[in-house]
Amino acid sequence: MSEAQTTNRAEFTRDNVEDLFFLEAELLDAWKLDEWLALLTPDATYYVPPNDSPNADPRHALFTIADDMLRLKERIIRLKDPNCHAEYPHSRTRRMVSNVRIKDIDGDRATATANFLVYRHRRSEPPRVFAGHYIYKLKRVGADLKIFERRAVLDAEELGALGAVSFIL
Amino acid sequence: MNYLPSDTAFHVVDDKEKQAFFVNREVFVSQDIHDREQRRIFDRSWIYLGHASEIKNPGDYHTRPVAGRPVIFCRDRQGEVHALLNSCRHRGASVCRERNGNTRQFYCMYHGWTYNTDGSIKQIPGEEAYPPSFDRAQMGLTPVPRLESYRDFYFVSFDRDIVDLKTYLAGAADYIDLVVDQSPSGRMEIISGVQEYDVKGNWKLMVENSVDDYHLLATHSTWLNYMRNSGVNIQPPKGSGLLLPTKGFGKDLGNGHLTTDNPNFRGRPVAKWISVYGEEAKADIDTMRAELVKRLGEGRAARVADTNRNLSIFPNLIINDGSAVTVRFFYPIGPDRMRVTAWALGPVEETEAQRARRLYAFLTFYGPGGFATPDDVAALEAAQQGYQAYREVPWNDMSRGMAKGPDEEQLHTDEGHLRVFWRKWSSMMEKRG
Ligand code: FES
Ligand SMILES: [Fe+2]
Repeated sequence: MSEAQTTNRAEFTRDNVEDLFFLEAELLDAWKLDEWLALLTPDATYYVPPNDSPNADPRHALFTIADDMLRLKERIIRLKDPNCHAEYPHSRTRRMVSNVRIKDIDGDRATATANFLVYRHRRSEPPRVFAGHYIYKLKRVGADLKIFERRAVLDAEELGALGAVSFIL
Repeated sequence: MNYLPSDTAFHVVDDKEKQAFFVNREVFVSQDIHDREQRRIFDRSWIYLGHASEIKNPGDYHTRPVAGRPVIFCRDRQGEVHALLNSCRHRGASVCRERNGNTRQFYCMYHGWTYNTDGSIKQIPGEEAYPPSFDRAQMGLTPVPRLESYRDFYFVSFDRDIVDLKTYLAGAADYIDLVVDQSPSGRMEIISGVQEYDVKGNWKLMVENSVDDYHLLATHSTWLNYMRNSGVNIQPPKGSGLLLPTKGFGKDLGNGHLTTDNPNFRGRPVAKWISVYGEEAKADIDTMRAELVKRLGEGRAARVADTNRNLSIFPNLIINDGSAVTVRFFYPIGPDRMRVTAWALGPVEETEAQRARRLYAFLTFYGPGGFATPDDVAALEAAQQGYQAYREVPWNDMSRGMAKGPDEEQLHTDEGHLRVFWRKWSSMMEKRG
């Protein structure tokens, strides 16, 4: 790969950001969790805020998920364990990521948003549809864009029939 | 020889002589039993409504279903707490359609009747059209027949003649005290962020599961791994014969209430440090611990900080005072489905760092994205699916610990405390000679 292309890949362009999000969706749907984790910075955080206060701060409000990297690694250990009963056998998921927007660029950091639809299928039950949007904080690390904060905000007023968020949303 | 009950009309078989206890699986699938439970149990018990901290200010309200009815839990402009049925006295529409907020009045969007926050009628558009028999003063929102609180936990009952709440709570009141004693001022609060999720299982499975420590090893091995990887000792003492690191107990608190009562190994935000909290939290936990000792004395402080409990208040409230505190109630949507509502509870005077630590600790285990609750849900749903074969495989065995004498303690991994629930359920649902 030429020097020009390498540099290019770390620019905050819609193409590059979409590439990152689409790759992420593909890895998660394929349950390639270690490869997915490599898209994140070593100090990254992953949040699913409460349905009734999507803009809340995890230090003040009870989230559905609020992982630092320590816990996120443990979550992945758990998700690969056949004793993770909620996800064994693994759900089949299919993610549609769209409406990608770069909101703000500040030097080697940027905020980007995207909409998502995640279909989760399990044996003998109708698919559950998780709709919402992502708010990403991205960082340029060497020749790549990496995720250092990832917030998956659900549209549903309550989890209700969606049940648990037992996979990576 | 294995003993199974035969020729019994009862769904709960409690045979002390044979040291056997069975629950017929039909109780988890039958529409008829589900319907009877509404009238015999939910309409004749004290049902959790909410916590005082949710409606701090005059005009604050929350709307939520309680025992199948839409209820407004609110504080009126004078500061009095009410439980009002959210149904217009005119022709029934909900008069409050928001989840929560602060208001001067409840306004029915159908024909515009308005009500004060104490439920009294405020305004009726075009009132002159009503005949003389129409008594305006009588047209306020209907309150739930009974409303009482214990240490800021509000309960309602649809049974006008039920005993007072304190009497009803019996031994459970002491365990609520242990939770509330974590706050220096005796004031706990519901933390923002509610978790509402459905489980495709019968509501009684949630009662059992919440207090059943026998399932921990199998259902929650990935959580135990997480604790071990983080430096928490999860080994039962050698030669102890225990399944878990500490020897806990299951207790009967009277009136169908029960609890586990366990020496803690999993850490407590107030106030027992574990490695998951990080080294930097140690000094702060020590300070909290010192405050407890000063206020409550060594013995009581140890009781509050070094033991944890999963408390079940009949029929459908669970307070888990474990890795953090969760207040959780649930209600059947049908025989095979329930809606769960859960919050985190914490002392009002927690610092930002203490609150953050509590919330972090909460999510290590509880909730729909926690390391344990999703597997509980999976277990209950697996049980519910298994009950489709209830005609061929009718009996759940719940006899663990039954061979023990009356003076021997029931362990948290026994089923003695689960039997407490079922005896109460049976006494309300089944007529015996
Ligand atoms: S139903 Fe409320 S005003 Fe008519
Ligand atoms: Fe559990």
